[in-house]
Amino acid sequence: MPVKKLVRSGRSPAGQTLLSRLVDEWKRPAPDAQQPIIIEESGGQGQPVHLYVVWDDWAPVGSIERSEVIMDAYEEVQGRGGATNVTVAMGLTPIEADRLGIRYR
Amino acid sequence: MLRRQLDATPETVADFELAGESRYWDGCQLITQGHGLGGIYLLGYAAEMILKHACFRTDRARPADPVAGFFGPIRAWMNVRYPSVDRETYHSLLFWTHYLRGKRRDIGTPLSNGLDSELMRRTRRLYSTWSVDLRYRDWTVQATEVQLVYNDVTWLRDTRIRLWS
Repeated sequence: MPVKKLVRSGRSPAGQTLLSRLVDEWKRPAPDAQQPIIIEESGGQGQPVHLYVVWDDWAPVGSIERSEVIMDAYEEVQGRGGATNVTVAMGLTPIEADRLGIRYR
Repeated sequence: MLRRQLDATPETVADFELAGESRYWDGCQLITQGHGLGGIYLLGYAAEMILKHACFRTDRARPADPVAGFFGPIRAWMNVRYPSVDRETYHSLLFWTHYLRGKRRDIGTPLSNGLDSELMRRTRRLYSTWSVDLRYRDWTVQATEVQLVYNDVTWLRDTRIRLWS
């Protein structure tokens, strides 16, 4: 009898949906979309990259899963090698971003 | 209510350092009162906090930075460099040790040879005893095992600043 292996991603259904939408937005930014707002902050070539994604739709997802979703999306867009320079990936709702003083408006 | 307080304030890098220090002393207290497994559990937790804090600081985190944003990039980096090391839902002492050593080499500030090998030796031994899943058990442990965990975690605590500076 054949044995099939299924790999569980450990991602919540909400996280999975947000990952697909984030990849789409990153690859083909919709000109009329207000969110997600993606901020890539870097000091230049070879310097650590910080990613912030401000999005109301993060609300039901925990903060560590948000960070993983952002990295998975970034890897899909930039490739695995491009992601190794990233040291911070934060998903924030607008209220959380305001509280942390992230400039995104 | 503590839960409401938790939800309102995201954990920071400094919180991890302070939590590690508090749980270290809680663990020592339990051991001296004869609660070996409880003591081991808290000392292992302190080791996890010390390693995580060192990893975040290596990634240039500042004390007030929220920690959540570091997990995704660390997971991605480890998937590329050490894909066979299990995260164990980010509780594995080996996962954090490999990240710390590998990342420091990557950014050109490797641990000195002596510190590096001692860190590996101690965390491997700790890993062979401690798991976050010990919280589900109620076992009697041998005094020699308690002593080894105490020695290794105390070494980590004494060395903690050198791990990231």
